[in-house]
Amino acid sequence: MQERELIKKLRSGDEQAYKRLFDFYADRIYNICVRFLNSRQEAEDAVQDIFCKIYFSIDRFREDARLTSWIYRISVNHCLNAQRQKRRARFFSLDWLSEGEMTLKSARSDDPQDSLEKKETESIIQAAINGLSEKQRTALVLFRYEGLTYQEIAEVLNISVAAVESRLFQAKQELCKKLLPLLKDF
Amino acid sequence: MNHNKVRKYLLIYLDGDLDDNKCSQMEAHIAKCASCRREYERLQHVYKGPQHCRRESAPPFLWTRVNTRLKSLQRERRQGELKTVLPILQPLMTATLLIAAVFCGYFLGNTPVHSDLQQANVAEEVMQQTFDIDVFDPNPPQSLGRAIMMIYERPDEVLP
Ligand SMILES: [Zn+2]
Repeated sequence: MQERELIKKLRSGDEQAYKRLFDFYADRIYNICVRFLNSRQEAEDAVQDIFCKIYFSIDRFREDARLTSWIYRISVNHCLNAQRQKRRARFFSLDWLSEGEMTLKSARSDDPQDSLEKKETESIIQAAINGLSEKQRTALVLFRYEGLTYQEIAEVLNISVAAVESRLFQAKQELCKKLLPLLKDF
Repeated sequence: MNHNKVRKYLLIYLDGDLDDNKCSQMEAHIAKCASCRREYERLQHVYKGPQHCRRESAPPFLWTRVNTRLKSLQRERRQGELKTVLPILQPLMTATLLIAAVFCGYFLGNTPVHSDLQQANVAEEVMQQTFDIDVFDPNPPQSLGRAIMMIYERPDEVLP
């Protein structure tokens, strides 16, 4: 189905079109949510919220943009907001006192298919990414875990390609600085 | 290139995002510096670039949950709309009913009942002509009332 046709059907409240949209984007959105929120349970809740947001705001989608970029933008913004809320809640509950420990723990994957070492390394990278600034982390998650091109990331974040390049360049430098001390045991 | 600079650029180098000049400087340094080479190998082992990253798959039954949430939100929205309209609608309905009641009362009070009077007159005439009955006579002939009245009107004739 053409994107335009799909949007038209979504706007008319076609449930089948909505299901089709879900089937196409569910994995991508879930992946982003897991990377940002570091929790499968929270990611599931976030995916539900994001799809409801898409459903109720499809009328506001400008057709000169790409649907994919728009959906990614909604997802990223939702995750960043959820993260900010979580950080605020954590601050007031004084859990931030053990924050360094938490980012590492929460980043650990619990998939039995993964080998222990892979789990460990991925959780180390994830913890290091969590320590980046919001802008750098967003660009890096879209690049590393979603495999988006610089152009696509620019569309999602509504910034220039040069700005994406610069953010990723800084993000990778920062990540490298954080990763090297964590990899001493490898 | 010194050690610090090399270590700063390692990930960018791994992703192939360094320009040719810096790239060759990095390669030269890594080739001769064992410490930086070790860092590079560790990093290479852990960080394999975006094409090696496994994508998390959405769990089964997520669609059912999304759909359920959507349906409940739709219901809430509809109720919310009604809740916002109702406070405006209620006084409006009351005012309309009041105006309608006042208008009906005024209209009824000012309407002469011509047709009813005409019908009553016709009925009275027909009864008079056909059955010789005065429909508005409270004591028609042959009735007990008339008999009593006759006694009162001519008491001498009836009662000796
Ligand atoms: Zn060196």
